[in-house]
Amino acid sequence: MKQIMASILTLISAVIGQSTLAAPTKTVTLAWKTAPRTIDPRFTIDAYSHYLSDLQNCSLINFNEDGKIVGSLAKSWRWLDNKNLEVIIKDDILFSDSTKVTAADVKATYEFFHNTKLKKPSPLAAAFKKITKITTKKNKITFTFLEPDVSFLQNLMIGIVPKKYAGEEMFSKAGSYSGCGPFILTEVTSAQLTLKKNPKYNISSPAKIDKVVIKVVKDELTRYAKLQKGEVDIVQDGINREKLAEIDKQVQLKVIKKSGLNTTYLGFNMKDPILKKPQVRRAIAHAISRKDIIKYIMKDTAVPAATILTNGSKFYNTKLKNIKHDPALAKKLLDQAGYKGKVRFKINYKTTTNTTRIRIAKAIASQLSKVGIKVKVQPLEWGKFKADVEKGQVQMWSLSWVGFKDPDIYRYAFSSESFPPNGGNRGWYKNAELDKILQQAKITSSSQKRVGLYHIAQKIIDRELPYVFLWHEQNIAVMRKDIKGFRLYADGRLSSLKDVTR
Amino acid sequence: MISFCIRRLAGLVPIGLGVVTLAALLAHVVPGDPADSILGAYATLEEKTALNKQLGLDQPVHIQILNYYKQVSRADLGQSLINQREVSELIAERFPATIELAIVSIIVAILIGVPLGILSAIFAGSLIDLGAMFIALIGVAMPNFWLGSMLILFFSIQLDWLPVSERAGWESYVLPSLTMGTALASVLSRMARNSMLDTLKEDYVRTARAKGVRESAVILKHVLKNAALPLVTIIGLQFSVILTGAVITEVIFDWPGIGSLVLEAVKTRDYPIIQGCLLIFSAIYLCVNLLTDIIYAWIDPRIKYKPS
Repeated sequence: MKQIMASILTLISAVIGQSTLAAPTKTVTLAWKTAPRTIDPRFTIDAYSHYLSDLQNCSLINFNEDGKIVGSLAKSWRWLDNKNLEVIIKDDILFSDSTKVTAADVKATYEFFHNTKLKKPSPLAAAFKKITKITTKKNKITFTFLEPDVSFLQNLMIGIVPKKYAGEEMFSKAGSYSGCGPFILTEVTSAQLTLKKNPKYNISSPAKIDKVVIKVVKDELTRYAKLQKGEVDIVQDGINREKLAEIDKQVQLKVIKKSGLNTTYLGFNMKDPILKKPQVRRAIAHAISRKDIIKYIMKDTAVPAATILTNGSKFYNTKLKNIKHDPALAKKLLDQAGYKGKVRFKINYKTTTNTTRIRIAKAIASQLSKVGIKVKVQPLEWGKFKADVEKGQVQMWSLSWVGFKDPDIYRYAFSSESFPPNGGNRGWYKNAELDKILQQAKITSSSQKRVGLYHIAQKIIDRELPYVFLWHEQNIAVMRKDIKGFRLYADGRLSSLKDVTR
Repeated sequence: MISFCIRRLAGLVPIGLGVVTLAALLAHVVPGDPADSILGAYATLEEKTALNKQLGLDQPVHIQILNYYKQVSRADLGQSLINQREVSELIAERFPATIELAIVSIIVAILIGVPLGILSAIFAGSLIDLGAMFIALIGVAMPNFWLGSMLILFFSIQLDWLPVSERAGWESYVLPSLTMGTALASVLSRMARNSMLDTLKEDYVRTARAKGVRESAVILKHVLKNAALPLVTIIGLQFSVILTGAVITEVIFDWPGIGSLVLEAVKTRDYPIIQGCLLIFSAIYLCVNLLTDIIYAWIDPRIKYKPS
């Protein structure tokens, strides 16, 4: 009997002891619209894979809250000339298995992209094929390039993989390798990802939260319901903007907003006999009231755009002005272009099946009808839409450039060497003067000179209007009120998760 | 029965071949290049061409179809273009969730639909009948996406009784199975009512009543058993529909089943997954149909299947 009593007492004291000594696990739960395509930092091309990679890996450079380049694993970097980039990494940075991150790990990670024996190549390989040599000396890594390309710096955000794993095929299971980011991926299922705090993380302060759970919740209404019920703590850019007013009234939820890097534009096919006329494009630009669309459809969560880059970029030309809504001027320009009458011409406007995109397209069609342009809105499934735009089987369309920070995007979007399928010049815009400037800017290592060249490029684009830039969307996070320390990043990354407390 | 089964199985072969051919043609019919999915938007034409060559997509269509036949005959459904995992592994991972939900939904549908139909038939023409058929009408008229959202709002947000979504614990099965089972319950109740009414008019029912058999015994023993035949057909057909068409419910309730796998694959143009799921869906449909026929023959010994 005594023995039984003693056992019971021991058990009770053990239970009590455990419950009083062990601190509760602090967990933050997020909901994402889709699962990341990959958990491997060497294969990330979609936004969610980038966000995940940023949580579990460290990279040479990173981007701060405003989208500006900052050192992460890299202590410093400099262009030795326009073909050689030298990077010096910090000392004593650790992977989660306590081994030191070395220049050899960095080299092995980047050399992976040259491996031609892989079953399936990385979609990022194209960006790194211009590297001809990577040399290391202690903490110093030198990248040598086939041709000058100073925009390459932004590609140094690949998560570093330890050398012993860096040559392997794509990782698909948690724990395939040790990362050097603030969290360790511990579980991957089709429904959720689980990360725990990396106690060895020493690039900056370690995570304040013990665990991050990322749930894949595809339906917008379900995401919102889970937030309301507390099954999810944070949803970033996944709640309909029309709900924001309602959320403001809820005691358990709060909303934070920040200017983003996405630029929505209206594209024109320059091969089209009507749209190739600059006066017509300018008339369309003046006929659109971006202010009204931002107010009534975007619910004031966007700001008018003058070019692809946002005004936070050092390459942004501050002399650019937003095009005014002026239907009278639009009519005058159309008259001058030779299009007169009640219906001056008909035009086809292709967009995706996204409900907001369709509403925007209908609003633009309505505004254009007021100056005599009859627009037929044609929503298409994404694959068909993309194929039509790339093949040039389109007159007018709208899309967004997502998260671009480097001005080399202008070369990708408007240079004549970037016609599809080799690039993103989907409007088939051709301007020899612009081509020359963009090429020069690509090879100029002087930052000041680059700024000047991109200012000229933006001015030409503003004059020619191959696109009408509509707006930059804000990033929005809806979260439970007890979540503290979460900050939005311009490019949507979730780096501030490590500073979250509750 | 055995020769019947063999004949039916043999009949499945040409259908199976047709499905495999359709699956192989999928990548050619649907707009978008698989190389775009793998290499991303910034790959050059040369890189895309090289990858298409590596995947065998540069070969003539008939060669690709033959290659796909060979691949499927080895029970190899290929690898996902996106995350390079085996398609069979991905389907096997998701299949239990789908089948569990389908079974629970069918049970919910039977538990609601059949008693409603029986009651309606027994009290034909009364207010009970009218009420039951009204409920059935509403059930069949409500789209899944609306019903699912309403159930979440009421049971999860307002009453706080059940989780909003996810597959974890018995509570998580309630709302999705109700969402999927309601429409089927409505169909079943109408079918049960009609079938019961027809059977109630049969001579043997009148004879049983004349012999003084208790009404409950008449209904359960004589009427229900005979009225069950068309219900079995409907349940069989609906089971395959539920198995293969749970996309909306799976999306609303974050159910990690095959429906949501297909949806993701369609969005990312992951053709091997779409092709694999198409084959699996077709196989399920054919198997369930076969099984229904067998059960049909087993329930009613008068049914004999002869080659036409």
